Amino acid sequence: MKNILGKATIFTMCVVTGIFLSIQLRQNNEWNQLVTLSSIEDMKNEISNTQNQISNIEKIIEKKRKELKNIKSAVNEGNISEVLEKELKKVRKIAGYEDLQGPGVIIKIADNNERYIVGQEAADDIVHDRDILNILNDLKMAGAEAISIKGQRVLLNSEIQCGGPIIRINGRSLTNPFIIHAIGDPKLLYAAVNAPNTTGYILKNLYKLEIKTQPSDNIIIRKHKGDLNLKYLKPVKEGE
Amino acid sequence: MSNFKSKIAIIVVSIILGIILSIQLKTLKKDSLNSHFPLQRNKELAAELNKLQEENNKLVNQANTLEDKIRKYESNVSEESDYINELSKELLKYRMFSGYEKLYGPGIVLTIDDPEGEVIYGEDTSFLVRNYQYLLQIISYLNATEAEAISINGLRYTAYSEFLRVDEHLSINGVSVTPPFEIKAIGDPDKLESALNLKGGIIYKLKNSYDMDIKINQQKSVDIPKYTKKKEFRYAEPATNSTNP
Repeated sequence: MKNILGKATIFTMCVVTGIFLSIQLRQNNEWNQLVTLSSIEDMKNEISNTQNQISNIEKIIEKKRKELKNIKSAVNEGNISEVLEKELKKVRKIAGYEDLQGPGVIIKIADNNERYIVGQEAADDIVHDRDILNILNDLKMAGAEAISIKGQRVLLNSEIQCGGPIIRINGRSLTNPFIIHAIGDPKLLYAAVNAPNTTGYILKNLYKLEIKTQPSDNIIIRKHKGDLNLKYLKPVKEGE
Repeated sequence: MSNFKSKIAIIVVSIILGIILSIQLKTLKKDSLNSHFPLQRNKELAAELNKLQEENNKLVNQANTLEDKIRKYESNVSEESDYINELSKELLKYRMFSGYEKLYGPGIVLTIDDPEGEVIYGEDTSFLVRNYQYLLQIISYLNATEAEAISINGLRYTAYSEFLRVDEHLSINGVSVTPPFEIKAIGDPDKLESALNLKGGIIYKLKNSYDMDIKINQQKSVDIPKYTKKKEFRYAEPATNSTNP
């Protein structure tokens, strides 16, 4: 009888302990759910991005207010054409249809002409369309305002395509060496091509391509020669 | 005697159980301190993000209504004379081209995603994010086929759109995006699709060498949003005619 009593006590104790434990673990689980460090990082990034966007849009609103005021007074005074002309010039500048000048860098990119090739085959030693694309992307990241390659203005719809021995840009064929002009902060643009682990740095040091960057106080970038013909685009009217 | 023995056995088992449990709990705690943050912090951040996004949306709306007002003024006066009419047409054309108008037109929608099981090898980031140059090449293909407007995940591609890898996502126009990527292009749908599907071309390579999940659909009407950032030149000025190139 005594034995049974003891066993019963132990049994109940075990049950109680088990229940306690499971409750405890469950509560713990909720607070320690797997939220990884990187997802927190992501969230922080997202927040700082949104903050940037907000400050950006606040500036836009300010600009628009001014614009609205200008256009109102222009309508009243009857010189609307001036306002439109000014606006057109501004948009053409951004689109690449105006000559521009300013400080920036001149970059020369040329094939590796040494006798001994660096990679497995000669194709590793020449400038490819993707190299130019990557360098242009790096320049844009550094805030380039206008870019041209061998006199061809890089528009937003400029293709950079390999065509065998040439690279095609704006429908024109360009050959080695490639000379890129870019207007923007010369220091930033220089870094975009020469800082470690940029495309330019890798091409120069790993693939031994010839890359020379020359900052300059005054670079002139000519407009895109040609008309803008849009066949397919239609504007979406607001409120429809 | 047997009673005594069984008691000792139970005590020993209990002690072992206790030790195992405490070790288990300790390691769990250590783990969670090092690599896992409590949910609390994440919730706070999410709330903050939500608030900011709401504010952002409100401001975007405000900017849009202002833009509408300006546009109304412009279109009202543009009927006054031929010259002004011509001028506002030109303005609209360049605005559409450089990304300041919401657009629609025939074109294609391309979706591209990482192959499944990419994470198995312990890679945190996706192939596409690490090798965003392939996205640049796809865009270059589209441009070579005379695409007139391009967007990626709802972000207009402009002359100033940069691709920047930030940890596990891409930053385009200052907004972070993650795969799957949806690239929309307005242009001749047949031409665009057949250029992309070129054997040995970029899509071919991505599909066959890297096992990417790519779908291309032609559509009668593709919507492309406008560029929401405002570009102001800080360095470039109009060139004076006397200077030589």
